[in-house]
Amino acid sequence: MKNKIIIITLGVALTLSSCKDVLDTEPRQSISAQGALSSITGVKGLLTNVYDNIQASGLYGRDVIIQSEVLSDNCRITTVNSNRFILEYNNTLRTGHFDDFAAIYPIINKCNLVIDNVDKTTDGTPTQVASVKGQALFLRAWMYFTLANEYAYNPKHIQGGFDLGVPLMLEGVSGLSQVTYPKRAKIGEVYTQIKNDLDVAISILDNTGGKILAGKAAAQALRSRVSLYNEEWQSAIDNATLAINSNLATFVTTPTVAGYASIFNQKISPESLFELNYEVTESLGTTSIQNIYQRLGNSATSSSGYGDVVPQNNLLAAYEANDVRKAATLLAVNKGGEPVFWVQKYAGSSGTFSVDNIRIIRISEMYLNRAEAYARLGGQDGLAQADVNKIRNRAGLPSTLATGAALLDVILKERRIELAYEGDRWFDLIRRGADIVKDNGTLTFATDIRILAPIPQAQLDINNPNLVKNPGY
Amino acid sequence: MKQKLLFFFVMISLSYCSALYAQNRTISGKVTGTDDGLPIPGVSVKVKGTNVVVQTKGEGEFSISVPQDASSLIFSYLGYTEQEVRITGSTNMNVKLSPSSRELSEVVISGYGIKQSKRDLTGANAIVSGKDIANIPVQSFDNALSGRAAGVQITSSSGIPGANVTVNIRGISSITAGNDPLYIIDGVEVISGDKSRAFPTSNALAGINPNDIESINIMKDAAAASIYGAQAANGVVIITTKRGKSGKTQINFNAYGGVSKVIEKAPILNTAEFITLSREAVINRYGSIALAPAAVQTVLTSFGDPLTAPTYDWQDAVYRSGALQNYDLSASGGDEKTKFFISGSYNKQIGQEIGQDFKRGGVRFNIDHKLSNKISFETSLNLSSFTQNGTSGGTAFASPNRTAMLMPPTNPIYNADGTYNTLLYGGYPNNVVQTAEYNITRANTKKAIGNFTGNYQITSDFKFRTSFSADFSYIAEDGYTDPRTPDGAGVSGRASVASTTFKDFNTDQTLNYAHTFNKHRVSAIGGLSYKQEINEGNNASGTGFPSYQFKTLQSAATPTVANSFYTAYKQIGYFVRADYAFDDKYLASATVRYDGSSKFGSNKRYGAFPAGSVGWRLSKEAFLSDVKWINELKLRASYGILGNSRIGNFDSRSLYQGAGDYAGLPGINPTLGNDNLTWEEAATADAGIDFSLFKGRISGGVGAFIKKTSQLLLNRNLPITSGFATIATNIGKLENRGIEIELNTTNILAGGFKWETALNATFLRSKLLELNDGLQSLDNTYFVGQELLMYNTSKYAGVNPADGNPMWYDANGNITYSPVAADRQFLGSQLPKGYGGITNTFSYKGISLSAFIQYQYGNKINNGDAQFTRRMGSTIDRNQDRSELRRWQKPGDITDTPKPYYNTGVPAAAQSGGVTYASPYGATGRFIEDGSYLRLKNISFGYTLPSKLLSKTGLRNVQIYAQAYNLFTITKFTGLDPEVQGTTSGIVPQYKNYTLGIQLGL
Repeated sequence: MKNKIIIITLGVALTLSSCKDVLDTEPRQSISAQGALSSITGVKGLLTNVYDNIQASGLYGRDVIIQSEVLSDNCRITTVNSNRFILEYNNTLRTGHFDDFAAIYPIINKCNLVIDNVDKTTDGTPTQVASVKGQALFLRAWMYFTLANEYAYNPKHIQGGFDLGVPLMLEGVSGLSQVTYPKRAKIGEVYTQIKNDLDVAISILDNTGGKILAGKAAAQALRSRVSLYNEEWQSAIDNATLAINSNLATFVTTPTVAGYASIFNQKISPESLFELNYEVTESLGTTSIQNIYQRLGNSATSSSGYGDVVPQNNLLAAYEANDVRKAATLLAVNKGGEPVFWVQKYAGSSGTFSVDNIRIIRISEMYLNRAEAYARLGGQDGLAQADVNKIRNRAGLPSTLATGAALLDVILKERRIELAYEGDRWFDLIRRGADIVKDNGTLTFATDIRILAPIPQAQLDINNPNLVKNPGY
Repeated sequence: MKQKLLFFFVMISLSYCSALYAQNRTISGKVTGTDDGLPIPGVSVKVKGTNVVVQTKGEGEFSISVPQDASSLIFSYLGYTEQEVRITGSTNMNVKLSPSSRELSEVVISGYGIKQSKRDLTGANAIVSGKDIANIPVQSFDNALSGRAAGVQITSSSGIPGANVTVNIRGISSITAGNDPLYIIDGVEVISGDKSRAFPTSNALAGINPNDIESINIMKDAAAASIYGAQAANGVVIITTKRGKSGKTQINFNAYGGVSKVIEKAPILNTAEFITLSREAVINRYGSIALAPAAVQTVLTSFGDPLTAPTYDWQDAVYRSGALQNYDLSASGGDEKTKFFISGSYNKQIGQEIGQDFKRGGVRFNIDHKLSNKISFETSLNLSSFTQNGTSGGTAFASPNRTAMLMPPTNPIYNADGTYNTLLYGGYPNNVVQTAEYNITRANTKKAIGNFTGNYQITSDFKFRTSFSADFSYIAEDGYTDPRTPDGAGVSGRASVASTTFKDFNTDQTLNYAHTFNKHRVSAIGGLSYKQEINEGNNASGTGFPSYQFKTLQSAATPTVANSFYTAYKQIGYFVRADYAFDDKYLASATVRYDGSSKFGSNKRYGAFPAGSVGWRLSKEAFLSDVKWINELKLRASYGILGNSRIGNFDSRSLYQGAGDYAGLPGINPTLGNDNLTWEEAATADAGIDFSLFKGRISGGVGAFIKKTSQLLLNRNLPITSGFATIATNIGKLENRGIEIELNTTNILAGGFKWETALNATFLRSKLLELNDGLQSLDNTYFVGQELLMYNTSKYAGVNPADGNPMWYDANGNITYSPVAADRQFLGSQLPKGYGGITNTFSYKGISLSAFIQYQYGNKINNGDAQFTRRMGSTIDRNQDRSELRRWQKPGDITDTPKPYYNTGVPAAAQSGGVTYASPYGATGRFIEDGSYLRLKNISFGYTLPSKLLSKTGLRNVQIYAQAYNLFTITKFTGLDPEVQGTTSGIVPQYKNYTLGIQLGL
């Protein structure tokens, strides 16, 4: 009897315990970290995720663009509003500013993982490897450039000797042991890295991916903008010229409202050198840029959309008479008794409310970059005039004959009007060390600590003694 | 050994054919219950000192052959006090057994088929009889447990029928890994909690008919629960459903129905008060209405004249008189070999808020069969389906109760032609009466829970038990946002579907041993338990419908989401438990479980969970034998380690997962794993005293415990520059300590009148001992050295009588207008310092009246709704609370409601000395309120018709009853309902209801 018991006990125990792997359970919707990046499709998947992250409403899907407009002198919030972007419009200390630090570093890490692993894949053709690597370099450079512009002084306009940029992370983290507590690199080092990444990207990318994937022309265009910000005028000119000559983008010349509107009312803009693509399935819905600029059907009584962000008076005043851009991009609306203008640059150009591609770099900016760089170099006012007049004439405005400082003013004003509502303004002002003169007050560049965004408190709270706050915070 | 066994079997066989004993005499009689006077079939009748046992038949009758020297018969039956009756000369013996539901002789089922007499327990168990929770008008038994057991706190924070509830046994012992106990129904480890994905709140346990439940054993301490090892840290709830008894088949029919109402509506302003407040706020801001911006003037004009403009009562429109009905029909019976309990039930509740209802139909088959004296099996099967209709919940614009509270009262609900008014002024664009009617939010859960258990009695001492269980749940959800509503208009309608399945399988193989020799009683169990859960699902949605008449995804022009997921885990545990009793006086028990789970990191896959306990029945000692008023007195103590494995299935792994797409290409995203990730560990020490005095007139227990949880699963913050924000790590410690009291008294027992009181009280303190990396606080909610779930914010100091501006206390206790982070102070925890329930039952003959009061005290609630309803006209686009009527209006006014200012807290013009005023309606101590309450949860009245009246009808018993639920509440909390934990923000308030029912027995 006793033996029977022992046999049963052992038998049962053994059947379920003999195999050591009884607990092994594999996920089906994920694969192990080691395996995922060994093939080119895996690395491409990671790169796709980077684009997807940048599309988010909290980044270039809406916030970076809207914040740049309302922090600066371009846009304000309507009286009746949904409480969105009010802190930013009021430049409220600590809470009303860019807050992209925590969103961007995971993107940079993924770029790093792509760059680290793409060369090791065995199944990728050299063309595929070059394309993936080039895009990752471009995206990393773009993200560092965004961080640099939000959290650090322009290298040519350092205030109070505060020359720190942001931490430079150039190697991918895939395990806990690789986590480090880095310090902020000098802003000059950050710019050097951005330029290096873009130069390599330019050398290995081509333009076969079209406008919605970063290609050679996109990298040249961003390189032109970086050079302009870094006051390397010749490089800004050269790269703008390369981007223009790539023929990826078509400069629209028709000087009419309809002509100008055609830049913004098609799914893919003829002017784009690079834009973020949104399928209908990727709609950001109520957090889309169209929702903040207008309501459904441009109707003030519609309850879909907010229509909260509208131009400030000082921007409206900057439009010259007969500027077709005003009629083409602004629509007068009476919102709850308040006459305002709703921006039409993101008007559901995919054919669906809330779905617009976000244009990151347009060819018009290349002409403006080049015009400014010529004007700044001196002695090339004619070339500068030619470029800026392309923009002016297309807007139905007469050619400018100004020279010298007056010409530079014309170019900067054209830049403001041409790129208005597209997220250029804040960065354009602070890269020049300019004061921000808004309808509701002025931020003096030299003294106002709100020129720089605060490093998030949560990051400072993590025992990282290396991370230094921005001055005044 | 063999001979002994043989002898034993012979004895048993012989006892069944007792007629063979010619020299014996036969005693026969009938057993009835003192409670209802009805015959009790299935009572075991044993000749004392022998193994001669028979069972009573359908009418309670028995006939037993007893040896000449037999002294007495012992009558025992589950749920009744065992009775010993001396054999006299008579051959006829009629016995009345009295129910023992509150006495220590109760039999307790504590998992893996272990049955113990309550007097032998050395762990901390709370036992609730099915009778106590029967017919309570809630959809799930966990909700019905509220206030019934010491150490068990149930919070039903939503009034949606079928809503999930929060169950905290002995406080919260985990910060992130979940605090739900493990539920085991008839041996099946079932899923619990809210498993729906889009529905506001759905309780997985609502698939069980509470009226099928025989008893619930809540195992709270390590000694009781440690046999469940890594799953037991939050306690284990063992549910036993009703089973058949041999005898005449009993048919029971039970039905109740009633009406329900919302427990309380929000007190809000009428149109005149709203307009007056809005104007005052604008005038205070701009000096006069004429100086205000044109847009603001237009709004004020649109409100109309406060004297004549009508008030539209949106709350009246979203709350309604709900209705509920419940039907149960069961049959139970059987013979010596086969017993059955089958039941069918239907429950329907139309919610007190528009658009919300619940329907459940279910059947249960519990069948036991004895193949031979050695082999028997038990099967249980529960099949049910429940459907909930709901509305957008919480703070969504389409949430009816939330928006009804905030909708400006100037907005008509309907247009003059009877259509819905959709041109609504203000911050709430949805006509919620319309959205509740047009939109669909629905969840249907289908459940099959089944168990097969086989028993093989190897010898009289050894039994092998094999059990196989499955819990299969399928949840189908669908939603439709009508194109006629604002949310649906932009996309021409949106439809979504989601389906989720849980396939849970568990099997237990155990070997049980029980032996009694001389004064030693030993029992032991050893075995293994294996479980796996597969959870998968898919969902899809689409937009663009031809018209509102098309509501299914097939008509959508644009598919927007198509998704599926799969996740799974496995666990295996080996356990041994031994119980020993010497002379029924000294008790000891020891358990160890070795548990492994696929959830744990590769370095920490398995762990051991030991526990031990001792008990001393003082009442059995000689020195107390003369003390007649002590019937039972037991001291008990236990210590052990329990685990909490409720962590994500693949949280320990570094993985790449499909995430995000761009330009039509799929993306993947990395996660950071931790090979050392493992269970949380709760070390529990427990001591208590159980007693029964004055023949059971006073019984109960007092216990104290300390529960220390270590290896808390916390997200350690990583520098974001690494690319990852956090990593899950086992780090941190917390502690719960408490005292639990259960007391049952029979206060009056005279002339057929009985007054009984059942009371349970729990006093609880928690403390956070340690966080990761020396951090002192987490999420501004957990602070080292403080109670868990602490509110830490600026303390409100009321309104400055001089200028009407809001004030707070600074760190030094002085007044400040602009508190900073350093001025925050601890204003109290979300967790109560104590809670409990008191039931008073009065009965006289067939009449009984019972009142159940539930209470808790010492907890704080963040009245989140008040942040929106107490803005003093800062935003004139929403209605406000009636407390705004006591706003500051002139110097000298003493009030807590500041001076109203439109569009800001205190405008710059009114600020003196460069002080920036904090927002009066920000999340500060102004809205942290005392959440103590006392609630008359249930009053029930029942009348059982005398059996004399029934004798001709053929009915066994008839009871009619009436109940009132959530009748009234005493509280200082000014929000909708204090029965919440944490923040009230858009919750659907509870219902109160009145029901009438009848129970028929055939």
